[in-house]
Amino acid sequence: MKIGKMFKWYWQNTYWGLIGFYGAMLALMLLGFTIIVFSGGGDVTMNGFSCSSEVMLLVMGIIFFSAGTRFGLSNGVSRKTVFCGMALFMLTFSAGTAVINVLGEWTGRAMGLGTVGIAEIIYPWIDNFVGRLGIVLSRVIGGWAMGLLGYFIGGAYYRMNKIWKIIVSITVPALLVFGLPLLVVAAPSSVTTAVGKFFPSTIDWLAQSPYNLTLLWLGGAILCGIFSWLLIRRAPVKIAG
Amino acid sequence: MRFNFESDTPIYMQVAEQIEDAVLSGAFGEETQIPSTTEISVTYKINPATVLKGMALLAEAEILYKKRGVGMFVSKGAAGTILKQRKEAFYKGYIVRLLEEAQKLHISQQEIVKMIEEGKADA
Amino acid sequence: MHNSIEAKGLTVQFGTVTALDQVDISFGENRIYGLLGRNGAGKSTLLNVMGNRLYPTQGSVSIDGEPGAENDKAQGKIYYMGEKNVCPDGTTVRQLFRWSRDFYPAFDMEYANQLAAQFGLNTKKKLKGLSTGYLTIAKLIAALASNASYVFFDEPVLGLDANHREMFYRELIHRYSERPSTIIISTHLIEEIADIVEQVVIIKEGKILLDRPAEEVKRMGYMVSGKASEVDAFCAGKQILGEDQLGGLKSVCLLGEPENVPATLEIAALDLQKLFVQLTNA
Repeated sequence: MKIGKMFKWYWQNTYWGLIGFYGAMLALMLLGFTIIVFSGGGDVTMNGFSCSSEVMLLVMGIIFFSAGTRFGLSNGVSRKTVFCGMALFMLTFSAGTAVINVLGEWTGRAMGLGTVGIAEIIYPWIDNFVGRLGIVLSRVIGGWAMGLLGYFIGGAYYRMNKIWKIIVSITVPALLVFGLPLLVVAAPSSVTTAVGKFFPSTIDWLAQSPYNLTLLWLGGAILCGIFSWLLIRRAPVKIAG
Repeated sequence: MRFNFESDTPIYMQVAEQIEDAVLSGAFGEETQIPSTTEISVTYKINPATVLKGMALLAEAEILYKKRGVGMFVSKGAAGTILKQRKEAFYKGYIVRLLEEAQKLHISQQEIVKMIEEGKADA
Repeated sequence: MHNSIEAKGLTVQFGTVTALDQVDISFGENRIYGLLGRNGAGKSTLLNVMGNRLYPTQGSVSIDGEPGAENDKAQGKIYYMGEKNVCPDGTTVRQLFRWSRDFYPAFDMEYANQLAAQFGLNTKKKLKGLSTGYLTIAKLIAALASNASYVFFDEPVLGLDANHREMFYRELIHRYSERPSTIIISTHLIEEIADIVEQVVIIKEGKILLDRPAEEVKRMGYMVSGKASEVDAFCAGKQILGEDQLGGLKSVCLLGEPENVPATLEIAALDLQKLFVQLTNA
């Protein structure tokens, strides 16, 4: 099965980054620990692990599209297998880091370090197994969604030609920075109120259970997955230079 | 062995000729094994199928024979066979053409004989 | 079982440019092919489509009777040695060999290492740090050791010096004699492969111009030279490929076999390179 081989390949191209990443995290944690000990402990909170692994997944996704497509297609692997291997690897990787992160945070808390992840901030009331499992699950799927989002972004860049790359690189940030506020100002009041109602109600829904958050991430992951698949489905081997 | 890749003669025929030359000169003695197809094709960078075709030509003419699992060997009396063929070819290829050319250049038979003697002294 | 790669009606369009135009061709078992064409004629495009690196606009490829596109099993039979490096930046030569073994289970690691030593290639080096010649050598070794049923060499001697080219051709024939496979060599150095290839395929402007045994191709044309007026008289009504004139002396390349040539005219063979130049000119 070439999915397994691609999986291994993705892993071989990740673990140095992973070691560096967790090495840096561990160093930061130790630094924080020392500061806490010397400052007499207390109300210092750390949540370094929780977001940065999602960021790492995003970056991996961006890199994987071009690297995996080039290598896979050049070594007799179909686009289908390149894609499935990636999705499987991202999920496994996200699960691995989620477990490590959660364990790290919980140990930190047990040691009285007051480390707290985002999910704990949203769901401070959770103390049972099912709830905690939900938190871990939301992390796993959240990381996966980030990875697939990165893959989609990487794919979009891979498929675009030079002119489009320049256009997109300028217009997308510009739209986010200027376009969005303009849209909010210019939109008719009926739309703004609808949006204004939609967001708080969504957040309420999310706050009810980590499983709702998981579902939201899953939706995002599937969406990014579908769009990425459309990008890789007919992708050629493209090599710069 | 030397191959003239520019020549009109197909390479497989050149392969056959070169092996014949080696047999004539005694480099490949009768009843001895000749280099394998691979050795010849690697050394002269020729497609193995081409070399094989050349060898098949010689096997057909009974100059070479195959020992199963060992390789190609020079047949007994191969040198004699080749010599006979070459003499015939010499007559057709050189003598007949020499006379044709001589006729064009108005060279008499006596002159030709004289030239041959001179050439012999030079060689 | 048909042990061959068959392309049917392949068309590839890049925007308004037609890189391949309704190409039908087959590459049979255990033969060495020379795929020739001028820059941009469509050689790499054809190899890319057969190797699933590029989707055709139209048409299909089958490998040993199975569909070739998006087929892991069928594509595993093809090793494509391309012009450029397809591995991630930090990849070392050793890593390239290991990955090749992962994806081509018949890969012969011992042979690869032996070849690396023979060519003086340091396997600890990163591909990015290698010179053009040594990058080519690293890829050549991976291709030779792959033991795939179909091996494509796209510009296999790029940046190699004469000695290394010689070593490669010999090793190629050696390997082929011991473990036959279908080999397609796409190169501009025609003379160097003229006697290695069994079948010649010439591609021009996205179409197959010629697909014949090398031995036949050599007898496809000839060159006749002599006094201009006599040459012209002889060439009348014949298929002329090209001509050169030097004062009163004229030489013309013709298609076909020489017949009834006046004794005053010189006849010379048209080797593969000369024929190629004549056929693909203009």
